[in-house]
Amino acid sequence: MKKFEKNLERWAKESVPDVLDKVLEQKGMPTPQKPPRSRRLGRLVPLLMLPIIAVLALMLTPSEDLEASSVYLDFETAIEIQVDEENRILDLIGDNVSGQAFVQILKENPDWENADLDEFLPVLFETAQMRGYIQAESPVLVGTKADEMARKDELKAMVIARMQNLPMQARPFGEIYDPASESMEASENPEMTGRMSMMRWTLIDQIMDADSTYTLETLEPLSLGELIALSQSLDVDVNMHPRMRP
Amino acid sequence: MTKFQLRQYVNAFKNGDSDAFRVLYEETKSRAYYTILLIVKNETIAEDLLQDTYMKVVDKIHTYESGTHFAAWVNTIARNLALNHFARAKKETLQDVQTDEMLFGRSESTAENESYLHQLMEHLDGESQEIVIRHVVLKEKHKTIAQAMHKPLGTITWKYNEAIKRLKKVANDEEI
Repeated sequence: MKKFEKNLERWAKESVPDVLDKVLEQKGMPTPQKPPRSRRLGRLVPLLMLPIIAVLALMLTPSEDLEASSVYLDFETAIEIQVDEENRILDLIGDNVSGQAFVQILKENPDWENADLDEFLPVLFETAQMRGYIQAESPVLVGTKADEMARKDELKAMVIARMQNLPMQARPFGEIYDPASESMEASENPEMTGRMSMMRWTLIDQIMDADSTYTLETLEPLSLGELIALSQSLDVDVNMHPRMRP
Repeated sequence: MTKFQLRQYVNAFKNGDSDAFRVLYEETKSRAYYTILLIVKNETIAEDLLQDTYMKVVDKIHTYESGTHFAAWVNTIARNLALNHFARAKKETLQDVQTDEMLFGRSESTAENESYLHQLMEHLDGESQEIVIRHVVLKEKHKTIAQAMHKPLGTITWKYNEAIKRLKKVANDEEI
């Protein structure tokens, strides 16, 4: 959002009449003394610690060795979400520089670990929008990896369906694309680890296959939107999904 | 604030922590207030209904389901109260309800009591005020606004851009 519009939003918030004290008085609730920020947070810390304690307890409790799968999302910020067979989050990994920074932000909330993927996706996109890690209408690449093809396809279908059904405020992105699975695995390149997502590399690899005049050096700086447009012009399969279910 | 953080504050509030209620109030009041104002188009009535909204939030917090989005739940309460008021006012014809009424018209209070936003928005017509509030505060996309206001998308986009230009000019001219 541009600077003036951000200012407008702030002025709008400042213009909201304050009815809090009247509500508290009428409900017989104590009027907060507005303690210093550190004390205010301090009172909540014991409550906020509860999820951390719960997660630690789970980690220390012997559990079945659940098979891990991965969901890859790239909206210029690229991340990998590792999940177990029940789609509970095991780990978050940044696949490029901004992805690594974004993962640090997501991990600020201890609730991320063992969170349900279905519940986590709207939080992920809302956070990305709030913190400026996704541009409005940005395309999103979605990919999955699992030991079995059926699991991989099921996970991808679930993630895409969830993204298509997100409430508007958690759906800042444009169209959803998933590069062809077979190509993705075939073109995995360890040298791209931490530099770009596997899906972006897949697109680049397929463009170079389709037209050898393109090189990694010329394609790497392009935006996702530009890569997708180029792929489509060269008849490379990118599997577009509309961002809203019809 | 993330949904998870919001959930922590909701749980604390359910346990009687009024500090947590303050945080939740600050986090949700803007959307609730402007949702109400868009419907009732009167700042005094909107303030009263905002208070009613949070009274109801306190009364009904035990019915809030933790899987749903808290801000959206508050907004639903606010919208329903506003719609009920609007329907009552129309029925009783105590209030001359017009669909193109200004959100920020000349109020009975003196100019110095008016918020800065109010002073700016008085320079726009009612329709433009609504489009700006829907897009900037309520984060509605132009397409959604067009559908809600039964106007073509191009009209909404054009009116919004013109409104922002005008507001910028007014803000610059008044050196605010």
